[in-house]
Amino acid sequence: MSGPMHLTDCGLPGIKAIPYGIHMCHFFRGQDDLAAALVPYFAAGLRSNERCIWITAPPLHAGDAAAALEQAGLDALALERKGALLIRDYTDWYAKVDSDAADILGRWLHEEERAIADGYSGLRITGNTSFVQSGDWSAFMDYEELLNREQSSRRIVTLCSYALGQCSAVDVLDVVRRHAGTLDRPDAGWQFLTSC
Amino acid sequence: MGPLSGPRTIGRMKQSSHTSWRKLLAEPGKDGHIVQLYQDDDFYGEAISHFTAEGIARGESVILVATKAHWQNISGRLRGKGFDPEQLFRLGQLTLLDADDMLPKFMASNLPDGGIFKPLARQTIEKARAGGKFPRVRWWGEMVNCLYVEGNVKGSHRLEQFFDQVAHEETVAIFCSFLMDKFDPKIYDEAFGNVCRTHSHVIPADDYARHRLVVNRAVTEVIGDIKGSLLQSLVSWKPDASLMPSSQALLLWVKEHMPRHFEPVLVRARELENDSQARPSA
Repeated sequence: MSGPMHLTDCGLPGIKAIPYGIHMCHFFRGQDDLAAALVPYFAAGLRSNERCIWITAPPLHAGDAAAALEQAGLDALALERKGALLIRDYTDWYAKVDSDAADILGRWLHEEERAIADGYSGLRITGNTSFVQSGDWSAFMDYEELLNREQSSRRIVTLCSYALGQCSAVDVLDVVRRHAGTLDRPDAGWQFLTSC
Repeated sequence: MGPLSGPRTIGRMKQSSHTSWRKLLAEPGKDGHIVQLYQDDDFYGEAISHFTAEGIARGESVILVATKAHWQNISGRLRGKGFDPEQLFRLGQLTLLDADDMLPKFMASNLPDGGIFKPLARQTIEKARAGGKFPRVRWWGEMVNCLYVEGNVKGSHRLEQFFDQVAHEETVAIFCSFLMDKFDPKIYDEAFGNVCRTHSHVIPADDYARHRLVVNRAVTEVIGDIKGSLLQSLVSWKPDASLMPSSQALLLWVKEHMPRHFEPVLVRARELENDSQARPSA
């Protein structure tokens, strides 16, 4: 990895270096929109020797995610075999955790420790939250708040994806207030709309 | 949110402090300064008695500065929660002061005198600590509200600032209650801004879920979907320092960015709230 050790390449055109520990979000409108953010995000992570974990949910399932990476010239299968990349559907990933927000967070922190022990520079995560039901929204926001606080000192970068069509104006504020940065692509390039 | 089923684990995450004021009042932080906007005696009494009961249960000392009429409401609820105020007074764990007696002690020319008030507040806190028996102290009072209700907005704000200073200096959690209508546009001219500047947390409503629902719907009906440049403005917006539910923060964003829609949104939110309260529960 080039550059200062606490910075890494975001990968999204228009955004340059981001610090490890950053917990970001973006709002997507559809499958293409989602892939347009996450494929370059992961391509940069793989280039930077980070272990990448992609938790998928509709409208972009695990198979679609792998195909999107293949289209960008990345050999998803080989990367998975090597252990640099893990693509899992939310039902496979979260179902293995049988407890609360702290346990899910603990699993991420453990993945980061494992990645570093295996010689990676850090851990790069994304999770599509489209599966979260309205009744679980507040609890999920607590989890986001916890993650935002606890990952800030770790070699983890996270980009959480929120389906814009599923979010009310109040939901949007909930999400933005629980992430250190909100990314948007108003034109050709990406930019941070908020960063704390 | 979508119709998809989430994994069981998310559903079992702990209940949020963002869905209810109860957790916040139970654990206000060592020098948190929380304010409740209320209009009905039930919400008022329940919040104060909850704050008090949770403090007592945690072994803290609690100071209450109430008017006589309001003490009836609070003490009745404390008894209902299994606490005996008389016994707590004897133990020194509960201190009750009369707001109407206290106020004249430090008011000068219709404004609180910090040189008198702050030492008085410090003495009260010191006494509540009972020589170290109760290292943690929490304080609820309505003197600031008394001044506000009398129309002394300047005096009320000044006293709140003094309270805030004492809370930080003495590491005491403070809870205030304001008789304020959250859907009255007039409070947003000055009073609500003052409240946000002097408190760490704002509790704008008894029922957070209902508040969220009516504000969301009022915004959608009056303004429409928030998208394009409006969405960018919302996402980029940084509200004042005090923490409040996102539904209340959204109202402040509307006021700042779409002032001509602000009053219609409040009017519609009130109508929706009244409708939902009139409707029998399912």
